[in-house]
Amino acid sequence: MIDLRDPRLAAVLAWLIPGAGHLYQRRWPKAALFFICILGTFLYGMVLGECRVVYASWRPNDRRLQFVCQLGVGLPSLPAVVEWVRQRNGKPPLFGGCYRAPQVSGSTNIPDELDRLNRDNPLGWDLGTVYTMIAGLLNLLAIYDAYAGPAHAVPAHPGQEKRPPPRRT
Amino acid sequence: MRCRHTQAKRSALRRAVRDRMSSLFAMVPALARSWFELAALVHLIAVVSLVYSGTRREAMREILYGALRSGLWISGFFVLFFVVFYLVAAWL
Repeated sequence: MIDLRDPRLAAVLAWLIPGAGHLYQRRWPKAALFFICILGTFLYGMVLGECRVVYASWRPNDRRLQFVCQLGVGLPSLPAVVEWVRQRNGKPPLFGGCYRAPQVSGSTNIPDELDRLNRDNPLGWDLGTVYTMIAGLLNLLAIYDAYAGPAHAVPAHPGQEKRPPPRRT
Repeated sequence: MRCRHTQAKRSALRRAVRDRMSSLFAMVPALARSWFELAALVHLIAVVSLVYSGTRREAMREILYGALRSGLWISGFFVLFFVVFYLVAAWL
């Protein structure tokens, strides 16, 4: 039987940092597995996208729906929200351009910073976006596992598992 | 007359097979160029399999075994789709 301790707290922790919920539940191997796999994928995506693929934006020419998936990683993606608020208030970037939404022009005919990022690093931009999105989506599975336990777990009370009916001879 | 007709059909078939094979070999450099995308794909398959299997089971040994099975299934589907799309593209 698996002791999930406080499942709600574990779920919140699992969202904030991948694997932290399992660490709180003392499920060490799975904590390490989720931490390495999910956070590693997210960081690799960030490196591929030169730290520019995770950003929040809801502008007419750039509605960043991908950020909804990236938000699943929790704390590592939250600076994008901070940068979005700062950018809207006209404040300078906090993280040296990372997490900052690229400049977009009012027209699709005028090349802007978003076009440049796509043109200069097309493969890295696309793969980085996909990697960070998949990391966020995978963390949703990890959060559910921290909240409800694994799907094929050992039954809480031995003997409750289904047994085949006895054969009649 | 009939023999010449059969020979022409055979040579046309041979030419068609040669063309298909050459197009297959022509893909090799393109595949080699895109090794980076393939490496990225392998990484994604491994990570998705491990995390999915991790949410299904608790023991590490079972997780790894399940991840291997999931990874093989996903890779099998990729190969299957690759072959189907390649054949469709070659015959269109």
